[in-house]
Amino acid sequence: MDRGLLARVEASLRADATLVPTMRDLARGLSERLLDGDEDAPARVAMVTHELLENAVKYALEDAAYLCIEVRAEGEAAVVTITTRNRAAPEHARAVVRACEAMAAEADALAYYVALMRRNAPLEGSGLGLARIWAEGDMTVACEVAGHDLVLSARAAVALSAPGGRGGVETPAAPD
Amino acid sequence: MSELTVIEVKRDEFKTRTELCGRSVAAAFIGTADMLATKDLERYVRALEAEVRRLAVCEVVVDMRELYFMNSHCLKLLVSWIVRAEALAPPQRCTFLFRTHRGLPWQRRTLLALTALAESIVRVEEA
Repeated sequence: MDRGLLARVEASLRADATLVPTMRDLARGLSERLLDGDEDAPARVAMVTHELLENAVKYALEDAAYLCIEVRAEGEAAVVTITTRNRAAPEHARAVVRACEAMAAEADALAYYVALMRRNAPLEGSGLGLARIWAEGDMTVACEVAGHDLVLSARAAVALSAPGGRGGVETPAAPD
Repeated sequence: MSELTVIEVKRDEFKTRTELCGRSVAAAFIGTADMLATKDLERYVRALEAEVRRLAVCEVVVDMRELYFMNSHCLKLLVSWIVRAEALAPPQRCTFLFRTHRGLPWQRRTLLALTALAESIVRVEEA
């Protein structure tokens, strides 16, 4: 058994948009259980899971997408890594690589995100979702083109659960 | 004053509810605004923006208290409207009040960015 591993959830899915909220809620639930030391972490992990998986589903060339959520203990913190993989058209993969390179060249996540918002870019392929992951999710984003596959991953260190569990504000129930 | 004319979004997972109150428009977003709702929301936002100009509305109140999630594509629709509104001269420039739910922390982070985008016309009220 990998001693640092707290949880690893892998899913191979049809490229079906209706499955994305289900996986987002799973990510949120997992984070609520494991990352109680950071009250914003579940919402951040859920948002990032949604953005990445929706991207994978939307741009999948074949009717398949892969998602992996991994939580690993590193000292007093947990490192959360969310990875998606899908078969992608070369032009889409190149656009994502360019967006990741542009982000890597910036120092201020919020400033970059707001600057992207201001650009009069078309809705598709603006890189806003990736910038949102960085700025709102506090997670770094990396991408890799592996053959015909596009692999995107988001990563952050967050506080582990505190003894006594989660308190605080009740979250509204998701609609049916 | 003329009546507000917009076609509401009525999807299973996402709905809008819009009301004209004097020179203010209240637009409630309910459910999950994701890739399934993008086209409907785009049509709705375009229509509402046109109505806001036609009726010389001063303030758009976006009620997000029952909005469980909004993806970046749907967010971009609002962002683009805010950017266009900010560029207008004051008589035509409407302001935006976002009503959020403190139990949905993603809203706080998203609205922080929207406020940074257009501080002069975006306000946030947390319930």
